[in-house]
Amino acid sequence: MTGNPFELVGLQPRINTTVAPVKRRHGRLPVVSMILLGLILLGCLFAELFMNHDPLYLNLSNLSSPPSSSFWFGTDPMGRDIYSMIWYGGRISLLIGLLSAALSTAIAVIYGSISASAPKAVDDGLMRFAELVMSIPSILTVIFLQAVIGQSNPFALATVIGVTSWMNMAKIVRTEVQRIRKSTYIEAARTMGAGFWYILFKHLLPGLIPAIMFMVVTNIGAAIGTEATLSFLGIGLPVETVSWGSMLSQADRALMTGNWWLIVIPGLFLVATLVCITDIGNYIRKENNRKCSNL
Amino acid sequence: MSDVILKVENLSKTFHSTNGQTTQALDKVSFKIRRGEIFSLVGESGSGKSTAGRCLIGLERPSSGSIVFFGKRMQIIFQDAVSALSPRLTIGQSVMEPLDINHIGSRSSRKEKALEFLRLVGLDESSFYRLPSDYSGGQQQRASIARALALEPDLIIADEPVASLDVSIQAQVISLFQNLRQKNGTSFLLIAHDLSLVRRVSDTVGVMKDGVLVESGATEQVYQNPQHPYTQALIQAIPVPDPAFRQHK
Ligand SMILES: Nc1ncnc2c1ncn2[C@@H]1O[C@H](COP(=O)(O)OP(=O)(O)OP(=O)(O)O)[C@@H](O)[C@H]1O
Ligand SMILES: [Mg+2]
Repeated sequence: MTGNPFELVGLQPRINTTVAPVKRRHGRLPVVSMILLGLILLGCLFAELFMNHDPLYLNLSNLSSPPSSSFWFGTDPMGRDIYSMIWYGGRISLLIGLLSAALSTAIAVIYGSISASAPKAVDDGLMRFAELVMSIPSILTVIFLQAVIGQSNPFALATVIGVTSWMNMAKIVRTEVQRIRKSTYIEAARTMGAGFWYILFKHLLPGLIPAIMFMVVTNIGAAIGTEATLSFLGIGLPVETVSWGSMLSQADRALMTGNWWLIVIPGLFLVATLVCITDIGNYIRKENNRKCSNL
Repeated sequence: MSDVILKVENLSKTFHSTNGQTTQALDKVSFKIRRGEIFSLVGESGSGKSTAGRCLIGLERPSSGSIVFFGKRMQIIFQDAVSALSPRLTIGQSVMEPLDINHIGSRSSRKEKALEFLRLVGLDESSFYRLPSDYSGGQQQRASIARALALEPDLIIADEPVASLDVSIQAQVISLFQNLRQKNGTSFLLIAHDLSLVRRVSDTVGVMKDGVLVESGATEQVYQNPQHPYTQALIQAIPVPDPAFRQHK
């Protein structure tokens, strides 16, 4: 607090509108991000249409060759065409992002709802446990789980990332479920004879989705980033499995040899994707806040 | 006994808040509601009226006492009109909800029924497709009244059902209740703070103070000859009725 005796704590800060007298009821749609992300998505989804080489073919006569008319983005130290790998490997990266976000969302919704509905002691216990898991650096948990699973395929990686990134969302789910459960319209439904599942599917989940949508989107981005980090560190996907992360794992050698395209190109796609996802996520969060404060 | 629809005996409810505080919201409350009767509960804010209604319909678990319901179905009109409707359902979906939950009739017949009840409470058909946020508090309250009527309950707990409505619509809703009572023999537990309204509509009245039902009896009897000092003070505080209005009655 600032020591101002009249400061109210807990109010939303208001931006001084005289400085920027732009009256926007709606946040501006992140058009650029949506188009860019859309293009990247399409490219990955229909990779076969864009690729001009086999992304897995080891062209031993063209190791680490710079971008050229034949290899648009150059080749990697194993002679694979980077342009084709970007689309092909992006698919794996996005798949890992989507799968692990789906998994963490499912865990968060179930865990958070149980916590919100359970007796206070159980609720406290569950929240303590979530905080405990959260306080362990997730990279440690991931490495540990990776070691336990002992496999380095996209599904195993998505599972590992998913089960280590549900905690924040579970907390939001818990708060939201507690808020929605207290609503009179839920009580009304109960007096009409509605059962648990009816209330869950008809009232709780629809009420929950807007509140966690931004977290879901953020989690997709975070999972893509984590995959890249892990693969870069050599504990994610092996170089043979093409993904943006595994492509980046060749970066250490690239730095010494001056083969910039090995880092810059997959890095650019990764960063662009993450920035777009974050931008869209923020827009969803702002929209939701605006809707809530309008009520 | 067959004409009694609800019998409440020694109903008590104590709330325990997390900081260890306890509130005795109901203290050994006993009363009966007969079929086709309008029973009113009056009393100051915090005297336990809503808690009584919520215990009756099962939203609150009584600490002790017994509640026996001889009817088929009970519904409640909530005091808090605005959060009583889901912000994500249209008015029509909300009014159809009790029919959906209980699988009553076909989809089209449910819609017909919902429209009929919306008309009864004075909302027009277009409201069926609109969200509650498009409507005023009073209109939302009428929608939630329509929803409570949709199952055709034989006992309606109406917690301040008309407090948020303007006078003309108040009269319309009250006469709707009276019609239901006459046509279907519906009973009402009416919770209200407007004592002259209570006198006009109810057969029996109960007076609550600090969780205790200090007095109950036939409305005119209680109003003309209040026994308990608290009731006497309440009745004295009623503004002198307009003589023209009294004659009208
Ligand atoms: N869920 C609850 N937890 C704790 N205390 C409660 C709860 N609900 C009600 N109370 C307390 O019980 C008492 C009775 O409340 P109740 O809502 O029944 O009063 P009321 O007669 O309906 O008042 P009003 O006319 O303002 O609606 C109050 O002291 C209230 O604070
Ligand atoms: Mg009340």
